Amino acid sequence: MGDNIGRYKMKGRLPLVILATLIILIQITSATNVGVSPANINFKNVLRDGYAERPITVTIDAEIATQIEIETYGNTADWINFSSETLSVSKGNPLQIIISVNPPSDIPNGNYTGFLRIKSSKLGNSQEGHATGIVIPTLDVHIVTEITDQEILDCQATDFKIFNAEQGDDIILTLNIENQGNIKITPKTTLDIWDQTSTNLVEQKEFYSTQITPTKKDQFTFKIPSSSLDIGQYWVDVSVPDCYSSQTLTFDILEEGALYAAGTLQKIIVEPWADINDIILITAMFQNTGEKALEARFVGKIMYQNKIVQLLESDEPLFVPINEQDNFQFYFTPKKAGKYIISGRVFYDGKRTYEQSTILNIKPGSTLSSILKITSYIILIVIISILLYKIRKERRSYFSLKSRR
Amino acid sequence: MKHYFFPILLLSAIFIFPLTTSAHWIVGYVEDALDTTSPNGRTVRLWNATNSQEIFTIVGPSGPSETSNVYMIDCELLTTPCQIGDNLNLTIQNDESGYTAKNIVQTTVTEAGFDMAPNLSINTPPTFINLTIEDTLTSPLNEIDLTPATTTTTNCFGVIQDHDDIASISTIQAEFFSSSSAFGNPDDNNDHYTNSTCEINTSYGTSIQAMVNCTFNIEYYAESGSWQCQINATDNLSGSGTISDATTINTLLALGVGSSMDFGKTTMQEVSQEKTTNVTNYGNVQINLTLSGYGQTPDDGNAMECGPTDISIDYMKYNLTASNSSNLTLSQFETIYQNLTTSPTSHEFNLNSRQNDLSNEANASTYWRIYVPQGISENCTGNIVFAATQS
Repeated sequence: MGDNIGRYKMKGRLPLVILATLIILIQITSATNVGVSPANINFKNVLRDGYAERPITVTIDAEIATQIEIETYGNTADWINFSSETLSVSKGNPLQIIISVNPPSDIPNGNYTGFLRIKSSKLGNSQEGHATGIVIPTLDVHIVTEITDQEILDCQATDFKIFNAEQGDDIILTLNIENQGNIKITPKTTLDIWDQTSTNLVEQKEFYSTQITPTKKDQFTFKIPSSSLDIGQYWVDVSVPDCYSSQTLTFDILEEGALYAAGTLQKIIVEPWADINDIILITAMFQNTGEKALEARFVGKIMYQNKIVQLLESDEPLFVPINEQDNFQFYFTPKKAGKYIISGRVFYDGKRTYEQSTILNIKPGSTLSSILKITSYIILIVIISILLYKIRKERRSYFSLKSRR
Repeated sequence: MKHYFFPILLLSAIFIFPLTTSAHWIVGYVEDALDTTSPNGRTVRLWNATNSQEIFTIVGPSGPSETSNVYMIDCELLTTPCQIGDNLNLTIQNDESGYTAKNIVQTTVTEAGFDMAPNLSINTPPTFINLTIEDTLTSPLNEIDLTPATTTTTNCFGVIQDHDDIASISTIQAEFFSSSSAFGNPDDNNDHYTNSTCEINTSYGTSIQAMVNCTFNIEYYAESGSWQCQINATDNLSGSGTISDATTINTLLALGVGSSMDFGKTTMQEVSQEKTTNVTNYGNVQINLTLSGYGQTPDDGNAMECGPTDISIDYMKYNLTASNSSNLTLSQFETIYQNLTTSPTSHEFNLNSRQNDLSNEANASTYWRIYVPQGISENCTGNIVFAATQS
């Protein structure tokens, strides 16, 4: 009898242990730590009605995607802008947010402070019949903005690159320009092309980049027609006078067909699981593996139950320099639950890549948390039923023993 | 006798002169390194293994040979001059250049006026072409953002080449250290990391090139500021190459707080028992706290929402420095503890970032109580906002 009671106790405890473990696990997963880098931001020498920006990175130590909220407070709360108010972050997928300030036009010179508040999810739950304080961990990034009336023109041009071209094709020049001042700039880039001996000036060119706002860094690509250049080696003096930056580069004009065009559609990336009516980002990663810059176009489709539900086609060709990788991006909103197959290939320079595909699964209408909740309820009901059954059974055997005595 | 003196003197001089000026030259050729570096000016060592005596000479135009890539050395200049049949060893003396000797050659002294030694050659040390340091986010360049309460993977990777044989690279040691540390210092998660098991991908690039990737798992409390990655590669002939590059680890603001504060069953007109909430610094900067609270919605002026009547924000109080576990009256409560406010209030908490690799000392306690006024129902829930700012 004693053994039976022990066994009964063990059997009765097992579901309770499972339930307790489940509850503890759910609580552990909710206790996440969010961080932000850098811890404070100093915008220096910003003009009234001017602009400055800086990226911040939000990181988290949890694998599960967690929602964070962003808001501002303090004296400069109205000037601070950020890309989105509610965002999702997980470990390995840090979130980068561009923080910018737009001071008003009538503000006096001086230093102004404000805070960017990053709120993560609430910790803990309230207890029945208790007074409970729910803890909300947040991070306040201190933002100091220095307002000045002195206009500063300062920029830096770096990473000058020029690529060989086949005769008749454009020569591609790329460079990065960072606006380190506080006014918008449209710097001029000048090119002096010299022959192989660097003694005869063959051609001169001027290009203007698009407008660069203060604190921003952009990459610019210029196409130089090669029709007037013979086959051979050339030297080019590239200069960005506004930025006091210059560099001498060399390039070759090659016979037609001398450069090998090649590219790889590396993969199509999509979140494997999503809900109906979610806006799903589809990213196709293309790598230029050849010897010349490519203009590439993605053509693909989304299939559901052997029927095409959406075509994926890039509107404009994507310019991909040599050795660079770039992404084609598309959006898709599924209306039905089930398995979708996304496939496609990239067309470039009269060639096409191998086809790549991926699978997107759409859940039938319920979120993970509701599934967990329902599962917990089912487990709880099953345990209660087992306990009631066992209690009744024990009572019956107890009364039958008593009546026999 | 006088007639014989001068002829005898002459004959003696003729016989003795060769003995006083005798030399036995060992001559050899030193090949250019495979990256075309000339051995001219390098020192050649000759030694006799039987008596450990050694002498040196210079290769090329500045040495006795006065000829590029050629050396000459007189083995008669050994303390015990060389004899016919002696076996002599020759090699290039290692110096700071890293172009170490590839081989040791041996020659035997013969009856001839000089002996030709087999060719010597020098090893080309491995050299790095470039080095990049990055975490998973490549923008902005040259900045590393850490992850709270865990590590962040950072890679130092670059192309290495060895003209002799890329497979001859035997050891690669990488160190990642802050400006307050240095290469060779012991590891400390705050400022110094070492990786002796870097990946070498020999399928990268040309036949003499390889991609070296050294991964570091940087703890969340690593110092912010300038850091340097230095990689040293050594081949099996002790030739070595090194490269270094700098990056910046950004400040990380991160906070860990205990979950909800359960003040227990509400007893009207009494001050609750003290509840402790731990605050942990999961970043790499010293932090202060900014506290505020609300019942159901921000700025509602309540500490807790309890149904028909709520608890005012003035009745929720805290102490950030000292604990007091005894039962308190309302007036004692108001003296010892500080009011929680609806608007954010900053406090000097000065909680430093973690310094100890073995245990996390970067935490501190905060102490909380609530007073439950009359007319409050049993279930009360409020929100307490713990905000961290860099101090």
